[in-house]
Amino acid sequence: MNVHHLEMTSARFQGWTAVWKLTFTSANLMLAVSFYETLDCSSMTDNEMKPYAATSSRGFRSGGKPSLARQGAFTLVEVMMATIITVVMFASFYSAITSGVLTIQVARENLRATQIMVNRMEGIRLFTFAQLSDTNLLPRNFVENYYPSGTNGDNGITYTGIVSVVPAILTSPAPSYASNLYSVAVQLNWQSVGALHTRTMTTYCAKWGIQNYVWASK
Amino acid sequence: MKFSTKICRPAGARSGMTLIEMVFSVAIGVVIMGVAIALIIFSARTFLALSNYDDLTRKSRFALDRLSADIRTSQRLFSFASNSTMQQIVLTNMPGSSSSIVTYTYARTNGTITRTLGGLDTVLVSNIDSLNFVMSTRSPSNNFQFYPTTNPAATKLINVSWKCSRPFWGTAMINSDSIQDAKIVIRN
Repeated sequence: MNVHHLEMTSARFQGWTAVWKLTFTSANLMLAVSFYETLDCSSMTDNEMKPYAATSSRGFRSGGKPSLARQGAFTLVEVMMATIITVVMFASFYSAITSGVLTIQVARENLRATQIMVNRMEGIRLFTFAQLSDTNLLPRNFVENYYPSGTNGDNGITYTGIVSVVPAILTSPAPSYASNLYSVAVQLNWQSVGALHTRTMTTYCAKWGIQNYVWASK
Repeated sequence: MKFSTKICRPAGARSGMTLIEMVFSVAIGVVIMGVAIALIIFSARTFLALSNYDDLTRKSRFALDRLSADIRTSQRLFSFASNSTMQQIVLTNMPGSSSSIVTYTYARTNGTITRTLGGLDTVLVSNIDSLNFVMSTRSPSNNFQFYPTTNPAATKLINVSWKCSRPFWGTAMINSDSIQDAKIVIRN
């Protein structure tokens, strides 16, 4: 009986265990025996490592020492890069949502500002031409809130308004009707999202305009 | 005798994880899952709030535009009623006749504004928390106020304001409400 074949069938590098398969042959009989060998690679020389290194193209460095980088784990650089990418992704997603919410918030504030300005303009329709110059009836400065009927001081942001009533015709020489036409502007300012916002709405009021028609019809 | 270069790794031959590795893995997994779940919940609430706001604002704007058009084109206010269950204004284009009237009714219990024209009811907006009609004469008073009146014939200015919101998960949310406030002058 001769030893026909000796083969390393597996090597568990993490446990440093090699499995050897020894095959004996005699005539028509073949006997295979497997046995295990526990390796202590840390104390092995390069020459001692060669048989094991020759069994695999993986798991050992060129010098025969086992390579941790070849065992399927991640390197520190890989983990750091993956972490950075993940953090950037999450931060970008949060930023996108936050930006969208802030955009909606500004749109809501703009809408409310438009309501306030339109309310002023609508009320100005009922003023006579002389009443437009009365700062008691039409104050030049006013304050409104986002939630007019808010409770417990929860009125939302504060809008500060400025009403200007000035002659609309400023050319020289002025036409004969220059003193009969006002330019009325309502300007709103409010602080939100770290910035000062301003909106303005302007209209003309004529002395013999629609308000006189409305007044006369009643 | 020769050595084969073939090597294989049976799955059953692989080593397991240590307790420390498992603890760290579970801890990292919990943190990652927590962040992911928080992000999903935050995103869902945000998108739902914005969706609610968009829907409420769209309906409110439509209702206010319709109401404004009806008030502006009406001849005068026909009647006004307010009690614990509803507020109602009736506008007419033909004084003294009920054949051409349009009615706006705010039902407090349902939180709806219904427009009635020719016997046809149309719910313009729902989820209203509060609504208020204030009638005023045409004469301004100090500080841009107008003299209030209960006389429909003397009403020239109608101030309407309402707030509607849609709760989410049992609580009202900011960004999930809509405010409408308008002074509307009867043009004729």
